[in-house]
Amino acid sequence: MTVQVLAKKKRKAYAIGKDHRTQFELHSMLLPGLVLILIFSIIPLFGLLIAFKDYNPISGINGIFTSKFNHFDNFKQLFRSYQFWPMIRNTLGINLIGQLVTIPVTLMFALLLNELTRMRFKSFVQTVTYLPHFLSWVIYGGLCINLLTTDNGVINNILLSVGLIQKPISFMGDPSYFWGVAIVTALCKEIGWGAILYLAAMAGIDQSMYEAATIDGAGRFKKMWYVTLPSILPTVMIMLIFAISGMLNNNFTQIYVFQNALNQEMSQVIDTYVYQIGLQQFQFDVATATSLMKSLFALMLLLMANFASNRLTDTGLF
Amino acid sequence: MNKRILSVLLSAVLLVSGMAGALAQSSPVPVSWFSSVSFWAAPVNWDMTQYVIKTITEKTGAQVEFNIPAQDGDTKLNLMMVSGKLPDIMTITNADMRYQLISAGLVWDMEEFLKTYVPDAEILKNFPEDLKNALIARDGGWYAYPSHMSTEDARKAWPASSQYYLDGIYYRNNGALMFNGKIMDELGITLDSLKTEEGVLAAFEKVKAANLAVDGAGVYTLLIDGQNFKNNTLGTLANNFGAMPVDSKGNYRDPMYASAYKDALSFLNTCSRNGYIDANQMTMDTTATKAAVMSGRVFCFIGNTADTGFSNEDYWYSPGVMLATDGYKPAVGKSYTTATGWMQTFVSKTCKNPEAVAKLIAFLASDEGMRLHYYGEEGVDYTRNDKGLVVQTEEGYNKAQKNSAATGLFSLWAFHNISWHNYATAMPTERIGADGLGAMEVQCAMMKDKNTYIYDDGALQMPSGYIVAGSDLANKQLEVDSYSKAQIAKIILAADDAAFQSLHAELIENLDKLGLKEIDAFKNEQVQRQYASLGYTLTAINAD
Repeated sequence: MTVQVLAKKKRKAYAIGKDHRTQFELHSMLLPGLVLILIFSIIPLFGLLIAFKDYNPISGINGIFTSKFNHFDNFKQLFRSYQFWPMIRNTLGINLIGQLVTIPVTLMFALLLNELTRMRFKSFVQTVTYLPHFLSWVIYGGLCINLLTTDNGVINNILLSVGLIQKPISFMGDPSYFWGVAIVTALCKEIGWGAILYLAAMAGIDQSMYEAATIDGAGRFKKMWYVTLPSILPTVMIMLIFAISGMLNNNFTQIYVFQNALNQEMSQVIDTYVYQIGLQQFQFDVATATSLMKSLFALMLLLMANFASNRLTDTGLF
Repeated sequence: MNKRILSVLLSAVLLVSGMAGALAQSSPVPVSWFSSVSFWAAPVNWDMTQYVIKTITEKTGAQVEFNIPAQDGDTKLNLMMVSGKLPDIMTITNADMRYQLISAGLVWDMEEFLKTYVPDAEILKNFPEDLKNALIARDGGWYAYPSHMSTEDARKAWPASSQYYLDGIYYRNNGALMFNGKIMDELGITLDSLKTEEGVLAAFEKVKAANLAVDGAGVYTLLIDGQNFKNNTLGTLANNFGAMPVDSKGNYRDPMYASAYKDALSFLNTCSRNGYIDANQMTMDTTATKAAVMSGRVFCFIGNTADTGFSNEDYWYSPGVMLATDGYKPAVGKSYTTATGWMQTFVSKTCKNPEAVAKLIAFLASDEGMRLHYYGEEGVDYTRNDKGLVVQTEEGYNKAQKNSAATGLFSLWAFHNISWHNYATAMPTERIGADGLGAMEVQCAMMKDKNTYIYDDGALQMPSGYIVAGSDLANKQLEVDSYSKAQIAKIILAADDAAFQSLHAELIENLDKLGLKEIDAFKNEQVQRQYASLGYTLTAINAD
């Protein structure tokens, strides 16, 4: 048998799913995740029928199949709601502005952290900044509310004492502040955790490139700009694709903790609307229709973002 | 010999299993009790070292496990309904939830339940007939045990011990304006000066200018009822300014359309613009409001006074009504046809230990049970006077008012019976206490005021499920409720008069667009039918 024929046979043997012997361990490691997705994501898909029916939650799982079809009435109720456009606006606004702020700031933080040479200080900063990630939003949100309150809140006291404001600002009561509060508090909570991904990517950069840059006379900033950033660009693009596809998702717990009657016009997002209409008002059918609409838009956004990323940077999820 | 040993062993086994069976029967049975009333200070720890709790368990064999979520209780109950894992006992106040439970067949008919498991229960004999009929008319059957019952038949069965309690029945209303007497004395403000809108605003200005502090923290000039500002504070002010849910022709219409309601909003807007109230107050929960009132830092509170703990202090007063500048007469509705109570307690059909639950309910509703959970231990927590009426001791008062959740004394609100309480209790002599002179004075002041027009609002009550949950009208009502709360907050906080007028006009326009007029028309059909059956018609006493 010729060498070429042998090589071709070997290549075929390593084609996807064909070489069970060497791939077996990898397949078995993948299996638990696949089973979880099958049980919790694929099988429950039949529940989407609720979006097209007059469903009474008391009727249970049987009711999903036996309830009357109302075709698109649930979607009509959703689109006719006075909250529909405000919630779309708030969802996209908080996410878009949030990502425009969060991604560069987190990236900059990771880059600066990477430049630290004193390991102890670097570890200290990393630990302090990613610890808030582990606090629940109920606790963290409660702390933020106490800091921002007009009644002896720390932030208002500081602003008053330095003369930046004449009277306390109602951060939680004035709807115009809500987006800013949501974005800044989320940034403070997640900046450390978000930087870990970029730091891991930076750790994988070939050190000889930095040496070559040093030889060429590049300073720290130029190394950051010409070596570090281009090297971690695939990671940044993947994060961007996730951010775009998640444009209709908000952190429900955060928004729910901060939301009240005063700021509702700027704080009502799709996730809190689904909670309100589905669980508080017991309209599972309209809530399912809302979630289905959200998922379809998110899928479209994911496909568009992936396509754009592939075309522009040759990097994509698929 | 072997046979002897065997027979001894067998006897021992029989003895032990018999004892085990007896022990199993005598050990308390767990009973799960859920409530969506988040501020209910129930004895959640079920501390068996406390006399009241220990006695309840001994008498009924039930050991209660309370589940009272801090918020969103109705949502949690919804989820329990869907999962099919309902608690044994459910105490709720939401009318839609009540309708859901009954229409889904998830709860026992109370009479059937008690007859099946405790056929000799006192409650089966003495439950007021008019109340039972009202519950049947409302729910299609007697499914709920209502708290705070006070009906004509109940008052016949348990006649009030004194005129003091009768006044409470006819004039008492939790919604009130109350003022801190200590601060009034400090600033030289008299109760008479608070009987007009101008007088109240002048007093507020005086308090604000004085820049008072209590224990280093600033004083609230006016405290509204937190997150419940729309129903409680605005509801009280709407009564004060005379907004009625009917127009001058007797047709039902939402009070938000009344010009007197706009006056109430205007009053709060004035307070906001002058710095007497703070936007953050609208985000406070009941616990925070109660803490503020009990701290002594509040000059004036307007809202549901029952949630504030004010009766623990003796320095709260009410001028009755604050007469409106434009001359509108105050108007308060009270149901003199049978009121169906506040908390509604149901037994789920899936309860695991129905005998224990039935015994528990029968005991808590009995004379002996009410005496126990209202007053505690005779000789320690209360004594009886020469007429046999209960007089609370200082120890009993402290346990009931300051440590209710731990001791169980006065904490089983779901089984509080106003008529029985008024029958069994001597008239108090102190200002402090839930039914003390101070509480009665504050909560009766508005309806006792000679300027107040009191009307029977029984004809305006809607039967359960009149607007079916999930229907087009129900969805519109939910949108109206959600929109109006947010818009009313904006109106109250409007920066100037032009913004106030503009936002108010926007409110009315959008309420029309959201379908409130359609809902009112549907409700009006029922109201007209109820006028015909009850034999009277209501009309607004102030301008439309």
